[in-house]
Amino acid sequence: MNFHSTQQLLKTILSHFSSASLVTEDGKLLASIDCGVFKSTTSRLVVFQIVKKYLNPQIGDLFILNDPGNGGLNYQNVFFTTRVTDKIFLVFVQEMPQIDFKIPPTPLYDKGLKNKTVWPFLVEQNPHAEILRHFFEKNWHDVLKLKNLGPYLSEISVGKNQLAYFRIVAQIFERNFNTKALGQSEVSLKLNAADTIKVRLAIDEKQNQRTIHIDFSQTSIAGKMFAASHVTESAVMMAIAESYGMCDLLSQPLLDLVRLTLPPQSIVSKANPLGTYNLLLQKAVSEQVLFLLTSLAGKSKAAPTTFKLKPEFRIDLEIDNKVCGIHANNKKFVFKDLDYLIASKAVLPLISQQIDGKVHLKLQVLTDKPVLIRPQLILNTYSQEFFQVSNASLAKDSVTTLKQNEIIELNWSLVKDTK
Amino acid sequence: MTETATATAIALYLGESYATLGVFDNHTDDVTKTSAFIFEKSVYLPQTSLKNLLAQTVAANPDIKIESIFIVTRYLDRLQTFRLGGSVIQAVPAGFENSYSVAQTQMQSLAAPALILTIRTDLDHEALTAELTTELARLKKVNSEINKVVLQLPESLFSAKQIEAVKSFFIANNFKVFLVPQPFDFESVRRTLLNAGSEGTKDEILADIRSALGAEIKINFWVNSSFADDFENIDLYFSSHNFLHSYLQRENLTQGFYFDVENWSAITIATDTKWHSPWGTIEFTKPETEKFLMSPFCELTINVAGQVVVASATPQFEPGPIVAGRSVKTLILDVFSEELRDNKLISSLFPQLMSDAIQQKVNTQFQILQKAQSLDLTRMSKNDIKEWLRFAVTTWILKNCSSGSARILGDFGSFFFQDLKKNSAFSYSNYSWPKEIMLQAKLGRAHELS
Repeated sequence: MNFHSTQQLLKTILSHFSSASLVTEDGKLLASIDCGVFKSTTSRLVVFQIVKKYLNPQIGDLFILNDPGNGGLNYQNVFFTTRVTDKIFLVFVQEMPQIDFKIPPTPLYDKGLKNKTVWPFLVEQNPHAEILRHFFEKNWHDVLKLKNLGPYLSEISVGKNQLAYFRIVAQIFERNFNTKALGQSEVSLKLNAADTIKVRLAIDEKQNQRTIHIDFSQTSIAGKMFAASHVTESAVMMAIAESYGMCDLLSQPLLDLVRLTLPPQSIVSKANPLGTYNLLLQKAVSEQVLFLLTSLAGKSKAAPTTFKLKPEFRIDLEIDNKVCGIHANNKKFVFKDLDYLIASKAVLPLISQQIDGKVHLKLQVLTDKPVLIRPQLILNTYSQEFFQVSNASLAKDSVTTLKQNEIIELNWSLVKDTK
Repeated sequence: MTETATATAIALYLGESYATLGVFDNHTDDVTKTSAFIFEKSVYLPQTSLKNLLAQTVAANPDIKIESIFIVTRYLDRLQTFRLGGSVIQAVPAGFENSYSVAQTQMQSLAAPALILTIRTDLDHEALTAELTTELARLKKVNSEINKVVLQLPESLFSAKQIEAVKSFFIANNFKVFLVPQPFDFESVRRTLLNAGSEGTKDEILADIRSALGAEIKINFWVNSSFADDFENIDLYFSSHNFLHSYLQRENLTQGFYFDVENWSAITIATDTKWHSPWGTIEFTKPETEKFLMSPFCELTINVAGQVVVASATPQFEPGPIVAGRSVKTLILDVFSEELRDNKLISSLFPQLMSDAIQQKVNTQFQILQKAQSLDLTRMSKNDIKEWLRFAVTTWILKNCSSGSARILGDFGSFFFQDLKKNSAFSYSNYSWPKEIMLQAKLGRAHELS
């Protein structure tokens, strides 16, 4: 199998997932896709190491975990690990809002069958049994579909084929690296009075040895906000892959060229037991790294001169066990399942307009069931007039419960597309 | 043409980029009797219009009176890359301007923001008419060709009299009125706006047909599971998918993988109730489908790393592939220049295929592409690209196939079937649109007679 076929096959295998990695037996990243809300390439490698070391998955087994202290992101993002062939493992992440408890590394399927001890306890006794059953069975079904690719999977399992693939990926990265600037730059971001993230980027080439060094040495010691190092590293890796046009080829050769310095017990390296600030810190770190890479590239017209976090928020609205995410940044506003909420008469739109890039939404709660608003990402810099609940600002760090007839109002400005 | 033939119908497949038709006798009572076409023709639409195709068909068959036409189409798919509603007024209450877009602002637009007409809820008939008159005059300055209006007027905010007054006003001003059945349901709003925004394209198709075949011609489109002359415009977006779905049902198949000159996709026997359209989600029951990650009309180009890649831009129907004779851009279709020569349909779409000069031009273009690839280890010749495409399609089929039996269909089907022959789950059929359309038309007629 040549390089193009290998690349195509890896792409096909990962195409049904938004966050997934293929990992070789010795822990090398063969391929990765990272299109989810959270970036998790490094987290998946950490999960692989834990599951491989302690549970040693065989073909037909499926293990899950979501513990943010053990490579996970938060309780809602479940990591699945399975062995695809003797030499290749698949680790993928799927979100399940109904899971609000910690899952340590756990066998869900053994030799193709549901684990008789775990399944009743984890799924059947859960208040959301039907949702969880469908969720886990669907993911197992997606794993089983890979069997159809059997003979092709065998070929990418061969060590020399993997080495040949890595060699070419390294060459492509080398070419892309050579088209970008070398140098050093740094940027600081004050998250609040006590918490500062300082990033220093150094890109260098000496005696044909290329390195990208991301140094967080002067970042504050963990106070209120902090995230695990794999959470930080995943965000950094995606920012670098994006900048060097390597998103489709994100694999071990790229990881090998990036050196990270993360001070212990700092904002960017201390595992958070609930993963509360992972989203905010991934956003901060990846925007800082991209800012530095863009600045270094000397795109004077395109590059901003001062660093500021881009406007963005994420809020979950939970009604009758259905979680509807609201996400906006300066380019888009997305209210998942708004149509459903209106059609099912859970809410009534009082205002729903988009004029000249300004989105204004005012909804009245019709359902007699409680409506929970869970902020996932809200920047400190917002005045919070952008999201009001019954004429009061939304509590940023806690869950708000709405009752029948209460009103939610959102105002958001998009940057108009000048093209 | 023989004297005894009573050819009365046309079976037309109207794709995004090509059309293929057959003229047949629709009066045969025995549907199992496979009658041959009296006339067959296929054209590449950027070079020969539908109107011309039909005119040529009539001219070639002067003794035949064509009574009806049976159409399966995916022509409206070409609208999926466009903003719609350039001549559509959106009449809404204040606070609901572009309400359909709020759930996902990045979707394609279904109505021009400049043509929004905000209607006050507190006006009596006289004041309402006066305001509508003023507003219409203003909107006609924005676009003098506006001729359709979508009324999104909730009954909780407007009286029945007010809604009727607005409707009557636009009818009196020669507008086609589209009423949103559930104005607070944004999927319903999108569906109505899409019907309005697609009206012009449907009218063009109908006008072409009537102009060539006469005003009395009976026009039937495949909608859901039968031919019909009365339908919503949204139905036309799924005419070909639904037709293939009916084929799978008839043949007891669970899945089809379809590869023609413009569309490579998978279709299953299962259905979805939501259409995640480029304009936002719309409630609409349709077969489950998945497009292959590239279209045969995508361009092959070189990226910054010096690798050949498939450009992510929209399919390049105009000027089309090099084999169509006018292009200098290398499209995926050009990779198959030799194989295409043996295909009856494709060689009639691109008659230049037979010329050695075109084959030479294609090969030269691929040599240039090969030399432009700067990394020796990843350099691909035309033949390598062809094999890579076959590998990509084969693995995509295997990854997507579910339990049951699947069939590979379409003009490229035999090429992609090669690596799947040994797998008993797969079969292959040389699918012909006009023949299948004729068969369904006859089955429908037999059903009517029984």
